Amino acid sequence: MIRITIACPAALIGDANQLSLCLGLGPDDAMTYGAPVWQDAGGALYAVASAIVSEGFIAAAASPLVAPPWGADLAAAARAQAAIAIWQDEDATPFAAQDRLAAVIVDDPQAALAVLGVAPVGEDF
Amino acid sequence: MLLKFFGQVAGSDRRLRSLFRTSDKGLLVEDLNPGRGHLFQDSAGTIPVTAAGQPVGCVLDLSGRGNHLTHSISAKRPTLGRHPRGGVRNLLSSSEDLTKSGWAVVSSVLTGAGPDFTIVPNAGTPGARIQGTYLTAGAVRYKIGLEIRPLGAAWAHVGRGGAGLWVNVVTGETGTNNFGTGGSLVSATVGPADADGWRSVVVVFDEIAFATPTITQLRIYPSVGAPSGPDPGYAVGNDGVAGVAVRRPYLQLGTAGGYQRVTSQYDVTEVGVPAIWYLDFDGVDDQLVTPVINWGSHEVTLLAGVNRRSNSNNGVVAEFSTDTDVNAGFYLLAPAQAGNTNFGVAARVSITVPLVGANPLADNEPAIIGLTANSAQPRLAARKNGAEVVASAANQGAGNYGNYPIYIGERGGAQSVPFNGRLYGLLAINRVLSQSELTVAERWLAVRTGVVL
Repeated sequence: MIRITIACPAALIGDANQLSLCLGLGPDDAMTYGAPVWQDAGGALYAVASAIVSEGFIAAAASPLVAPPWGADLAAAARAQAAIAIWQDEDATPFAAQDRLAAVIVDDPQAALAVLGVAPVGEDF
Repeated sequence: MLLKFFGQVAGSDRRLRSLFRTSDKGLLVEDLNPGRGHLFQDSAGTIPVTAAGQPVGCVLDLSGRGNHLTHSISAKRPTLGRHPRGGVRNLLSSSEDLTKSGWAVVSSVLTGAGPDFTIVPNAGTPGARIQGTYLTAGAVRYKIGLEIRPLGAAWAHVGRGGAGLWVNVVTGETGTNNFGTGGSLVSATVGPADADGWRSVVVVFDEIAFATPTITQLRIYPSVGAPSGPDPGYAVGNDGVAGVAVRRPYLQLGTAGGYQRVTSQYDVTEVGVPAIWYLDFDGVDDQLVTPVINWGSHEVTLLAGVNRRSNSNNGVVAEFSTDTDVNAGFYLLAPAQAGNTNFGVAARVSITVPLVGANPLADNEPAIIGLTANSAQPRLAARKNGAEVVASAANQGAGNYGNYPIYIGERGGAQSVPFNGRLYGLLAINRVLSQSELTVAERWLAVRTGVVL
């Protein structure tokens, strides 16, 4: 099992959720990326998801997409698939950007957030 | 289907269940050992959780109210974890599989399926080694332990980074050390060889001061011949054939205690020490939710056993309603504000009353925290480890606390304010418990959390 943490730009949330439908476990995975409540240093907004997945997840995410039994918009999912970028050690940080689904594969989700360079939009209490 | 679990659930602590009188409403989460059958990987409750490291999509409500915690989105499910009572000491990412992330092999060949591994340095490569990363806290005392036996190489340099001590793994004698370049050696103990040649090696050292937490490594450098100097670069005679075998490495803060088995960050065990089970919330998007509960009361007691990993962002441990700042409800936050070493509570019918200061809670401090509230008095109190820490008589508005789900680990609605830490158990009930009842509940949570009250 591996942990993958993905920053999805606000403009890609719809497509990314269709990809989640194809790779996920049920129809509610269409809500994997919720409100864009994370932001980068420049204030650009993202939805962030982090989960433990099987070792085969990365290969599955790069394979030709198949519609799941609960249905999915394959064209939208394919757009999201084409936007996936997996961080490698030599890549520059912050890794989150408006033109990609930035994925970081490290055990510690907080370390992944640091690589992505995103933080929660502040809430007052 | 979850329907089969509605009604009273066997297996929960009888004293705790007895707190829920017939007319009471609420939620009871306890005893997260997967062997009890209270946990499922999916929200429908069909795939049991069987081990630490698995996602948890359904946690049965043991109060008998049927308010099971679920999440239907795969990525949002927390992870089951366990650690020994007393906490995790071994800072390595894995102790019985040296091929996993966090370990690296340098100019050597590593073989084995665990827990025993063989390290054979490549010929003529004095820097050959195996290393496991950890985050050093700086100028404090550390202890390294491992078992080692010769497989043609008579010596091994054991230490942190490039600083360490030469040990003769054949005779058990210790050689020179170069800790002066990275802390200072406090003591070294090499045990007698067993029938298979395994010896225990324990090295205690004081780390040098770092300005900030720094990633470094436990390192083991084999040397076929007697090293010609204290540095690991003085290894002699490595021929690509001879090496050493190692198993069960650990590196810990302080000197108390010994080996803890680290299978993963979510699965740490220790022989002879009871396991403490928990739900790990990742501080990104993990969340569990109850069905809508018509609270039907102007009173509440909410208690949770937690260990917050970081205060870098404010985090919802539990909240009744999607936002207690604008809806009726109540919340328990840790921390209440990003960067603060506190926890926060609030209650509201129509006026939010927050208590977010004066409630100290450090990172990595296991604790029982919570609140009691009664909007009719009015009164709100924050509790920690069996005692009130602060209270308020401010007006919360008149009436009951509403008709909402309880969100665990993240705020509802906008899905923000993620809790970054461990949840060991939780009790929510729609009345203020008596002092004797609070004692029962908080002592139970303390046992589940590994806290002594």
